[in-house]
Formats: sequence, C-alpha cells, structure tokens
Amino acid sequence: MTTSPAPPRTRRATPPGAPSPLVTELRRGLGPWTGVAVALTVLLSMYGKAPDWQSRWSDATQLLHVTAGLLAGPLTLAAGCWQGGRDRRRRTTDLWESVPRPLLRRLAVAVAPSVLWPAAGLLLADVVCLLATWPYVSEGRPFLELLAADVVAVAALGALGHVVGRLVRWRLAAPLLGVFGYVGLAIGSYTESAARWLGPASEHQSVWDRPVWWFAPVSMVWAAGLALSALLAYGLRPARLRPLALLPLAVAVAAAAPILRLPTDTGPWRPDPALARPVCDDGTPQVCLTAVDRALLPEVAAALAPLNSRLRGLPGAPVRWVSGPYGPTRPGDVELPDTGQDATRGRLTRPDLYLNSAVSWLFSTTCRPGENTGPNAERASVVHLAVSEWLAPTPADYGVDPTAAQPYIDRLRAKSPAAQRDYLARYLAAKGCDPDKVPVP
Amino acid sequence: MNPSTAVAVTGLTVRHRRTVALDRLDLSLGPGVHGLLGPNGAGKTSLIRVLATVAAPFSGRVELLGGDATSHRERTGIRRRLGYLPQEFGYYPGFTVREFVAYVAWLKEMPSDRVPAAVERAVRRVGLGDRIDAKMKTLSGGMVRRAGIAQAVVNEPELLLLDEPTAGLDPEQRVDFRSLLRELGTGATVVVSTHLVEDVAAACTEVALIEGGRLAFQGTTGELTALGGVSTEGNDSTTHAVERGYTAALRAHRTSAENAREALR
Repeated sequence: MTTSPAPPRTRRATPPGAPSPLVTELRRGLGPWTGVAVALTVLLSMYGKAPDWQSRWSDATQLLHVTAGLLAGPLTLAAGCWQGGRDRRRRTTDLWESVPRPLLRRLAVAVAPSVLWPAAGLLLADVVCLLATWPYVSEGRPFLELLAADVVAVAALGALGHVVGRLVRWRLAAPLLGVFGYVGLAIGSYTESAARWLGPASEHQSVWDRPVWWFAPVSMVWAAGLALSALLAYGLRPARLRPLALLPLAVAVAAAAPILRLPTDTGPWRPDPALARPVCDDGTPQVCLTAVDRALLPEVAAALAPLNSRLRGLPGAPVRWVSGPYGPTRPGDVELPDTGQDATRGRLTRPDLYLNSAVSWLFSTTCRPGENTGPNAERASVVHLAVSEWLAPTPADYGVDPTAAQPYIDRLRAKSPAAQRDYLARYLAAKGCDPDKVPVP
Repeated sequence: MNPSTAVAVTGLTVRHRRTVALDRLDLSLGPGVHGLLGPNGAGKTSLIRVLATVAAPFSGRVELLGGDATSHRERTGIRRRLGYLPQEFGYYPGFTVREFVAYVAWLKEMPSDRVPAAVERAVRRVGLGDRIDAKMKTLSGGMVRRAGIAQAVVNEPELLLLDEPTAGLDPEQRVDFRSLLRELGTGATVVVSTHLVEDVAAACTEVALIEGGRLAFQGTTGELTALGGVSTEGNDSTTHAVERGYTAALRAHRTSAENAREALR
C-alpha cells in the first residue's frame, strides 16, 4: 500500500453565513423604529411628569403602567397593523403562497418585529424610569411583576394589530386602529366595572397599596392567551386545525375570571401595612410620615420648625403631626398634608407652601350646617386668615389676599413673644365652630 | 405519467368569477426550457399560478414532479422543488439581496447549512454578485428582476416557473438571462411565460401556445417556426420566423375553433 502525501491545506472561501430570517425580520423594516417610538413616547411622557413620580416606587410604577397602556399600547397596535399589511403592500403574497414553509411558521417570524420591538422599547423605558427613581425612594420596591405584565400586554397588542393588518385590506387600517385602540383603552380604564382591570391602562392611586401576588401573572396569561389565539386562528392551515386556537382562548378566558371577580374600586390593590407604617422623628411635636416618605422626614421637620417653635408647650397644640392613610389615631394627633404633592426627587420643593398647608390643616374644622354663623362669623373668618398668615404667610403667587386681615396681622406681629403665646393659646382653645369665641388679637 | 414529465395537466379549468381563464387544458412538459406564448389574456399567468400551486383549479388534474398538486400533503413536497417568479415580483425593500434570497431559501425549507452557499451561487448566477449586500430598494428595475430570478433558483428547483422574467431587463441582461435559462434547462423543467417571441427563439427548446384558455400549439421551436413557412424577404431572422410561426399557429387555432363552433350550431 502506498501513501500519498496529504494535499496542501488551502483556505476554502466560505461565504459569510446567511442571516437567519428572524434576525433579518428584526433588523429590517418598521420593527426597530417601533421600538424606538415606544421608548421615546413613554420616556417623553414620563419626563414631563417627573416631579409626580420620581420619589416613590408606586408612583413610578403606576404612571409607567398607565403610559404603557394608553400610549405604547395604541402605538404598538398601529405599528403591528402596518407590519401585518406588509405582504399586501409589497405584493409578496403570491410568492409566499408558493412556498412549502407553513403559514404559522412564517407568521411566527413575520410577527416578531411587531411583538418584540415594542416590548423591548417599553422595557428600556421602564428600566430608565426605575433607575431615575431609585436614588430618591425610601421604602418598598417597584412592582416589577406589573411592569412585566405591561410588557406582555404591549407585545400582545402588537400581535393582535399584526393579525388585523393581515386581514383588513385598507391602508388607513393602521392609523385608525391606533386611534380606536386609544379610545377603547381609555374608556376601558375609566369604566366602573371590574372589567377595567382586564385592560392594560387601569389606574389606581394609593402609595400604600400593593397588588395581590397573582394579578400580574394572570394578566399576562390573559393578554398572551388572546394574542396566541388570534395568531393560531389566522395561521393554522388546513382549516380543520383552526379549532386549536380555542385552547389559548379558553386559557385566556379562564384567566379573566378571577380578575372579573375583583372589587370594582380597588381591584387587585390591597393595603400594605409595611408601606403605611409611621416613621417619626424625636422632635416636639413629633413629625410622623409613612415609611414610603421616610427620606422626607428631615425636610418636613425643618419646614414645620418655625410653627413648632411657636406651638411648643401650648395647651391644644399638636402632640404629633401625622401623615398617611390612617390619619390621626391618638389624641393630640394632627394630620399633615400629603407630602407627595409637595416633594420632588426626595426634597420638598416649596417648604413655605407646605408650612402654609400644614397651618391650614391645623386650624381646619368641620362644622355642621347652621354652625359658624352669626354676626361675628365674618370677623372670625378674618381672624382665622390673620392667624394663618402670621404663622405661615401664603406665598405671593397663590392668590390669597390678606388685605382685610392685615390690621390683625400687624397687631399679632407687634405683640411681645409672651403675648403672642398667650394669644395663640386662647386661639387654640377657641378652635371650633362658634365664631363668638374666636379671640380678636 | 412519464417519469421524466414534470408537468402533467389534464382537463384543467380555471375560473375567475364568471370568466373562464383556462378551459379543459391538457398539457405535458418534460425537462428543458418551455416557452409559454400567447396573446394578452390568453391564460398564461393563470396557468403559471396553478403550476406554482398558488391558485387552485376549478376542475381538472394537476400533477407536478410526480405528485398531485391538489393534495395538501404532496403539495408541500412539490413546493420544496419549485421555483417561481411571479409576474408582479414583490420584495421587502429594507432587506439586502442576500437577506431576501436567504429568506426565500428558508421559506423553501432548504437545510440551513446549505443556504449561505446557495444564496451566493444564485445571486452570482444572475450577475448581482457585486450587489449582494445592497438593499433591495437601492436596485434598479432590472436588478430587482434579477434578484427575483435569484430567489426563484436558490433551491436549484426541478420545476422553475417564470412569469414575464425579462420585463425590465435591458438587451445585454436579456442575452445573459437567456444563457442562464439554457443552463437551467439542462437539468430542470423551466416554464417561461412571455409575450416576447425573441425570448422563445433564443432560449426555448419547446413552445406551448395558449389562446382563449386552450392549447393552440405545442411542439419544438423548430416546429413552430416551420408553421410560418419560408419568408420571401432576404433578411429574415430567426425571430421573424418564429413570429410568423406564432401567427400562423394562432390563426390555425382560431379557424379550427370557429369551425368547431359552426359544426355545433
């Protein structure tokens, strides 16, 4: 046996790998632009309202949820619809009808940009907003499961829009679907039935609540089941296989059942004692905020300090300033205004305004009809205004005209500190609904 | 059906609403390049669409590559061995030529390890090798047509159906394309629907002439040419000779059809 020398190794010119159809679909066409549009829409909308959500996880999560449902949802519907009509616009239908690859497989690849890019855009916007919230929050955690459910809902809307685009032979179908989608989702989110919790834009405003654990996963099953059912109903061939589309539909309906049994007003939201737990400083009077606003405690205490120094030791003065869902629980508790309205990024934006609000809340009383009337009622009202303006003047840009109370304010300012404390004690003692008892400064 | 027969159509009738596009057509095609000739509206595109398994016949039997094209199961196997360029070739403008042809290769269920080389070869064969990574939207009309031919041949089809493939090609590209057709016809059955007689004269070995949804003539290009007789003009070209044969075949078919109608009255 003879051996021949091994042939010299030559570098074989191999062509670059052909791109996979999925990668090509994701790279080309409308898909990436849809992702960018969704991310920018959510981010710009959130940026405009940053002071409202950047201090608390729940505010950030809630606003992201509503923005995703109301803005990203219709946008994704429209983009999916446009993508779905592509084969008709590009006249590739005839060619695709001649290929062996089953329609469902083709559909699974073609729908990917309508599903994955909006989901990625929303996910990016969610991450950016949560990172922007992170430095300023005190307690709790973002409801990531709700945000994940939003991502699934937006992806499902992309798939539904895609199927509509394949079925409806009309160029205006995409923009109109977007408009009708917006109206439908908006109406759905404000409806007074439990069905609103099936929509992706249902709103709930309480920073001390958290959703029940099963709500997000069940919502995902509901949205994904609907989308999968639509895709299967469209893509399964031959027609005798189409009843299989009823399976995900049945799963979606089964997932909807517990959501529809939720309370109409609070839906899946339940109070979370850990978030509403009072956190107090050791001042006199004490300032107590809820755990979600713990970081604001020094700021609130500093804002109230001038008032506290005047009230300290007076009979009838507050023992504790309290904020939160449970209100005053002990004798001597006085409710504080909601810090969420006056705080941005962990700071009180207008301490003077917050102090003014606190004084208003301190002196506010609820009188029955017929009370707080009589010949001295108007004078008492002017005295109330004078005391409030003396303790915490309303900022100039808030429209309160103290002219009528100015003589009383001047008299209060002219008094000695001891006389001021004496008057304040008498004023606090007269707090109520009888104008005749209100002492004149 | 003869084992070498790629297309065997019997009694094929295609209707578009109330119009009969193909009327009990019988046709059998084997390996080679077949020109499908006929005036506008004769039924050429209807026949190509049925052969491409895009349109379903109203009645009749369609056997392609030894399988029944009306059977769902057999149709999938047929489609894997089919190449098709529709009259209106649609494409995705954002895809590159490579991406688009690879996409079609995937749709034709080609083994993924064979796709990269097959795509390169198909694109080179149509002379677009230097534009393989250009986006489809940047191509001229002729280049798009060539990309369309590339997607049709990417799977080395045994039955290649081309509907007006030379529309939009300049004269030089047509010459190259006819050469490609001849090359493809050595191993496959190529059906070229066209109304350009010069394409048939230059590239086709066989001709089927359709008129009013019926087969007016089927034979070799030489037989069609012979129908036209000898020209009295000194500078008679092959194309002119085929045109004369085409016209003679059409007239003969019309006369025969007229006589048949008269006989029925």
